[in-house]
Amino acid sequence: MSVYINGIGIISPQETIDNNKFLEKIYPFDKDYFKMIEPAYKEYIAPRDLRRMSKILRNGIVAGKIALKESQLAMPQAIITGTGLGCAIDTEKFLIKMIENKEKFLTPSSFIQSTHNTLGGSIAIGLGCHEYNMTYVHRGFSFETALLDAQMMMQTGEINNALVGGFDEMTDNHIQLLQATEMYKPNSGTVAGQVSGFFVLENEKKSNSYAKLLDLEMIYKPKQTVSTVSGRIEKMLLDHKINKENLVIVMGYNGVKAEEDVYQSISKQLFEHQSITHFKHLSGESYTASAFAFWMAAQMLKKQNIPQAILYSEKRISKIENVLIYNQYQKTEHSLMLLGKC
Amino acid sequence: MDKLIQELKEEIIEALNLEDMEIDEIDEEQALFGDGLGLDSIDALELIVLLEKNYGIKIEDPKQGKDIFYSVKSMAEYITAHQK
Repeated sequence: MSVYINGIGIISPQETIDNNKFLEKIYPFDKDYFKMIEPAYKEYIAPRDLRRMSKILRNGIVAGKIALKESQLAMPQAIITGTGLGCAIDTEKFLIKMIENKEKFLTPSSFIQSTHNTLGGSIAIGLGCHEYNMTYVHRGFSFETALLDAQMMMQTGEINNALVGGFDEMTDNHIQLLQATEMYKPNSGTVAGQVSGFFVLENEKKSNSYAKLLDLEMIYKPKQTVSTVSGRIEKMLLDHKINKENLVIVMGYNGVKAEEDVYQSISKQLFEHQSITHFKHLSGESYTASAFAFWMAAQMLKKQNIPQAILYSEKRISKIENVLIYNQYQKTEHSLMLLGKC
Repeated sequence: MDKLIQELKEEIIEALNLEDMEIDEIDEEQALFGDGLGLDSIDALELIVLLEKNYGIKIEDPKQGKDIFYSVKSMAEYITAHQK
């Protein structure tokens, strides 16, 4: 049974809110990290509800609404989200107030909204959805785990559809901590980003379907990274009888040499004749950056177009039948997602 | 009292994230909850903390809350009468 992507809503540092556009104009990062291009929230959320929501909730709710509207699904049978940091701004607000006020005068709003599952819960409350609601907090596997959960539930017939999202936000405090590490070191490391991407997955193909999710795999801390990941990729392509002539690759190149070496070795070993694309120069690095890659892959398959801005190395391709995403986070979490044309 | 009322309006707007509201839009006698400004129970908790943190006033009897937080004016009157 196939899992179809029938609706997408994504808020990111690029103009991704309009699904008819596909990276026509590119926005670079602004100072320390990539900032979101915020939608006109009032067009989607009532002012009364809006006032208590932090940006991550606003962006996630808007993204979820856009995805549901596009798929014409009024009530999902599951809401499954993945996030690395959750509602980081509200967590910081709550903790800072706790320190400043010496653990007295603690107000409820930031605390209530500081949890990782606040977004999933808020979407459900907004919809009046009492179905399965789960949030995965698995570092660089967070979004992938949410997808896997939805895929497995659909394959076992528990549900026919799900709203699946990956989201993270960066804060001015957190970026300072990150930039003290080698990975995010200014000028030599990667650039942090944030994304809020929601996808309606259904077991039924529709006229406006983007793509189908064929396979998904996560590899945690492989000992021999290149050979292990290459082996899994080869097996995945073989299992699905993928013709590499019509395959496009998405890789998580992020400017960190140790990680880029892995991407390059795998590209050289397996994909010398395929177009390689990348995305973290547009989304920034985050635990759930792969949600941006997932959107990109779905768009490439639907629009049969590879925007110039995402090409890392170009090879001639007559039609895009499949897209393979290989992403890693800090050499620890490696994920493979294989999508196919509808 | 007028100065306190203005100050309270500013604090309420900030504490409750009423970002689209201006001070002049809050009538000092308008009901804060229900049909008035439309505040809810979480806002009530925020106002209790505001009173304690900014004015050193702790509400000992919860039953008094309804009268104290009826409007900005009633809050200001309570603060004036109880601030040490």
